[in-house]
Amino acid sequence: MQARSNAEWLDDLRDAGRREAALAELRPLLLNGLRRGLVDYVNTAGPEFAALAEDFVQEALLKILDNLESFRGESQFTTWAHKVAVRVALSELRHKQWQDRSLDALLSAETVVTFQPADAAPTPDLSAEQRDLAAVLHRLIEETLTEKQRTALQLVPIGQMPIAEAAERLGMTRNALYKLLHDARLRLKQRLAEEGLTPDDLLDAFGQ
Amino acid sequence: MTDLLNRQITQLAHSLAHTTADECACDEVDGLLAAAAELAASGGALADLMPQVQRHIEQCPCCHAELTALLRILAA
Repeated sequence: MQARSNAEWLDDLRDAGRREAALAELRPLLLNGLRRGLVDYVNTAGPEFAALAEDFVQEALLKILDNLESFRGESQFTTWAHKVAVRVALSELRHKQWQDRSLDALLSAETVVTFQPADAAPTPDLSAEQRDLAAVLHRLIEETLTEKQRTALQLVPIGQMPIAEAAERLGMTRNALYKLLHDARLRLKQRLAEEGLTPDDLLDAFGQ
Repeated sequence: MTDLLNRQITQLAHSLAHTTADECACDEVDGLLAAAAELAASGGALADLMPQVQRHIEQCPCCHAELTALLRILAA
């Protein structure tokens, strides 16, 4: 079978009479793609993945049909379609991974993280340096960032929550949360510089 | 904000070290991700050819994971 060009994919998916045939061709491409693309995240050879992948692809096909106008032709159409399917699948998998962890618990006193020396037996000087740097960092975070920025910072770069999941919990879009975090990181980096410090100073003191 | 574990300070420091004023956000990168994956899959260096995507994925594990998955798909 000859591969469709980008224009043919678009034309066929837009044409009510040819759409089903195009979808029938696209569906197995995306299923195979997810099997290859998600091996780092799930057992894609397992029987439970087959049903999951069908759901992911079904949702992806709907998104693809709804967003054909956003395809700019800068890649193969099938690569763009794979990207849509991958985002659907990874979003769902992340959500399942984090669904049992409430936002309150993640930010509550029960998850308080307390500064401790990094090494089992740090030198007294380094430990004192670490404590001083941590105190400066905490002060700058408190002084410089808004409460919303502090929450975002605590969840994403510090708490390692995926930005897409944190955005959903905070009632924001992924894009808006990225911008909020970017502004927070820029302000914090600038305030560190005003204190005569760089991120590398922190990495040197606390380990790479 | 509560005190931070050393590991968390390190994670934050890494994030700050890669912070630049001209980062683009997820929506813009989403529009470039398929082309970026094809470039990288053909041996191109994103840091040189699409530096805005490279800078973003250093800060955004979600977009990084999506690019990695796409590269696995294209590698087959």
